[in-house]
Amino acid sequence: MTAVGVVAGLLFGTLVTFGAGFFLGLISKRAAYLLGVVGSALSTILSLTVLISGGTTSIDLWKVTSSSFAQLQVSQFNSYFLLISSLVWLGTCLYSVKYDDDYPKSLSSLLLLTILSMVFVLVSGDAITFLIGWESMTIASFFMILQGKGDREGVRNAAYLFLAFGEGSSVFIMLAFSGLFSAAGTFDFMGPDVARIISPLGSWIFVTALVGFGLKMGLAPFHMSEWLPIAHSSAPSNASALLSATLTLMGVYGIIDVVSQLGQYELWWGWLALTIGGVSALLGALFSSVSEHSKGLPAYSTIENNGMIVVAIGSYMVASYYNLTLLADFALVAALFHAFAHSIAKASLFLTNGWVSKLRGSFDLGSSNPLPPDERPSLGFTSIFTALSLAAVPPLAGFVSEWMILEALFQSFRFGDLTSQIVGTLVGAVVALAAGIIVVTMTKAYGFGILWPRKLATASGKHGTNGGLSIMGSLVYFAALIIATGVAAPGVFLLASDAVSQALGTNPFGTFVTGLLGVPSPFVILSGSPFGGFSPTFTAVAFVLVLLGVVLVAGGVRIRPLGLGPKVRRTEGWFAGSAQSSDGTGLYNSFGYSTPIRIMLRFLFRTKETVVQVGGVQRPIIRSPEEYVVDLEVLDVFKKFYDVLARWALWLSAYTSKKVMPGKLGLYLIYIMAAFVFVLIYILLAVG
Amino acid sequence: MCVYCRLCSSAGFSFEDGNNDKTRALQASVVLQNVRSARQIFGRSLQALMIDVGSCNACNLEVLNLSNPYYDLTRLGISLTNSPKHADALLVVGALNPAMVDVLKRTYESMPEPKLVISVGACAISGGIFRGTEGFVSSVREVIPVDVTVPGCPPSPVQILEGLLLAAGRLRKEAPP
Repeated sequence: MTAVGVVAGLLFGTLVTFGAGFFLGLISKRAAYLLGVVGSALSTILSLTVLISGGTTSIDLWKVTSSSFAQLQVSQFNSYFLLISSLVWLGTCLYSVKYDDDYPKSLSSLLLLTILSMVFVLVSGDAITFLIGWESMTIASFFMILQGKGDREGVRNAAYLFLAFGEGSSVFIMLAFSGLFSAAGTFDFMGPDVARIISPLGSWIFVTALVGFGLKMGLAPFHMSEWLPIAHSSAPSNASALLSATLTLMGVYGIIDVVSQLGQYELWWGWLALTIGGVSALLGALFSSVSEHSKGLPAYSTIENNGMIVVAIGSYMVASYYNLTLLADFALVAALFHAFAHSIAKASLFLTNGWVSKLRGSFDLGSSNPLPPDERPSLGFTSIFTALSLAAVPPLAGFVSEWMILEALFQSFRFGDLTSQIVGTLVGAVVALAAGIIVVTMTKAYGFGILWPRKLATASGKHGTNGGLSIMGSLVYFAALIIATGVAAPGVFLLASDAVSQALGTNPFGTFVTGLLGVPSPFVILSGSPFGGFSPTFTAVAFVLVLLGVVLVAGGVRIRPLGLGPKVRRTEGWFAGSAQSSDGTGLYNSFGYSTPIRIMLRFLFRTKETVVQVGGVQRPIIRSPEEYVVDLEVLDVFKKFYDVLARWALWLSAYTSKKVMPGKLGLYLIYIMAAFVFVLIYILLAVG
Repeated sequence: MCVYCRLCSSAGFSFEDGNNDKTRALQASVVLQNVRSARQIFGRSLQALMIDVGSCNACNLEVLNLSNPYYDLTRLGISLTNSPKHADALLVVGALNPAMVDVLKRTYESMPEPKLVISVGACAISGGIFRGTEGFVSSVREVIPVDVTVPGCPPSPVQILEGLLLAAGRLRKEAPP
């Protein structure tokens, strides 16, 4: 137990630093971001202190109802999420110092305000503080999206769509909270120390919470809320990283929190979570693989990862329903681990892509402008870890967490009835498919973002825009975090188990992390008893050795004096016998890379093929490829649905304003009176 | 079947150079003099790319026939590929026209070492009936080094197969001295 004073001091230090940064941003951007770095460091220390030493610290602010206070509360559970977020904020703020030099000053203020609201969301001990934080987070993010660099109309649309989905999320969360309030009789239910709520309203609470937080996480039918604001408005990259890596994390936090408050689960809740998660994961992966926007691709990938987290939560609920304690514990820790691995890797990918887009002068992955040659090696080195982690390649962070989720789903056979087993297995297959597709996506993001195209004859990139300490420092920091999370996975496992130990009643660390087959004790992660297991640390060592062996023996490296290594002969690329164009047109690009998927899955993507004639050539039969380009357009069917919905809503409001509103004043007054009387009667009945 | 125009024999190509059978493939190689080494390099597998530098389509048809069940070149470990980056051997058919000179050179450049070139048909050897027209540039071996020539207008699939096997060093007993 740490002294309450230390925790309170660190918490207020964090809040005051971020608050000061918010005001300072109006004067100097750099100073504000540097304060952001300091604040993030403080909150990292705070969360680590609480996670390791344990205990819950509550600070009452003011009285809300007779039995509940607005309060700040730091427990192991929320400090785990605070730790993830702080690590992301630290890198993002550092990155912003250099990156944010052509955006208005308000961006830095808004960024820090969003961070401040997220701290409030995480450390709120009651529903009221939570909602205040949640709302200010949404509004600050809305203004941040408005700073985007796309065309004004698109930016406004995207920002308002974000706001609409954000407010929808708030409404559903309030509905969930109303259910929790009526069951618990108090608003102080955000903390983990509240007794489990068993209520006939359980289904109501779970479904509204899933919708409410799912809206923020970008789960399947609402995934517009995730990709569109980021991609359509071409939001600033530091803002995108914040939105995609930590804003959706708030949704994960909320849903796990609400789920852990509920004492008893219905079986179909688990099925619902498994299905929604599986569909989100697959859709996210597919749309991510055909996205050509350097922000849209990671944003879709976030949908995929959040889907996986919800799948793990669903697996946890079904396992709990059947009292499979071991499997339930493992699934929940897997969800938390994946949240950790995904957030840091996703923030890193956004920041890398942001800087790359700036250097290449385009958000288009298929752009023919190459990276300046002096930037390529360093960016290539740091972002390879990001891409590999998101593609779940051992021994990095993403592999460990995806392995855990898949292992949890492999154990669906333990579920008590056939339907659950089938649902679990099918969702497992879907998640595995999504994990496979995301490999294609990440090869595309890395290959066409960083490596391709190589230097062209006439290319003149913006030279001399070196990232320096701010950009490169941040990217190296993230790469180190990703490697460390993978190699030292048992450490993160320990933190995640600490976080859920209060909710589960036991600390699962001792059960799952042991030694095996000569590997010393805290280095093997087991996934069941007896099921699978592997040691991330020793895998990493073996991996590095094998890699070194391949490089040295098979001859990736040329050792000239000994005559070792491959003979290299360089020739032009093959363009069906034609000469390589000097301006990059006709090069194989990212669009070509994923076009087979667009064509094969045209029933899903609603791929629209339009032939555009070039140079005013009007002939019934197109004869040569110079005369036309074929444009493939991919449509998100869900966007279509919301567009139709929006059109109906607009029509309805126009109809009402034209037909109903301009009525007689007397009628209007009668309506108001009637409404007033109705409310009075309702209150009398309710109180009486 | 070959029309026996004897146009293969022009452009310095002679049937009498140690070849009694007038339709046998000939090794014209200076690159792969040592037949044994080609056998060692390529083993029993050969990836061939066909490039048409201006043919009348007859040779293309005969190359195409190699894939049918009767000739079935895959039983000999030979397959046709679509990219020079994957190819061991280049089958050149047709009378080289000006537009294809650079393409031919570029294709040859793109192939990984070691590589074989087999010129197939009278046109590739000498221009055939197109010799002397303005669409004809030169014989293929004046542009890229040719290892084996397969005469005929058009050569039969068996001859082409023989040329491929000869180039790959798999006919060493019957090969001309």
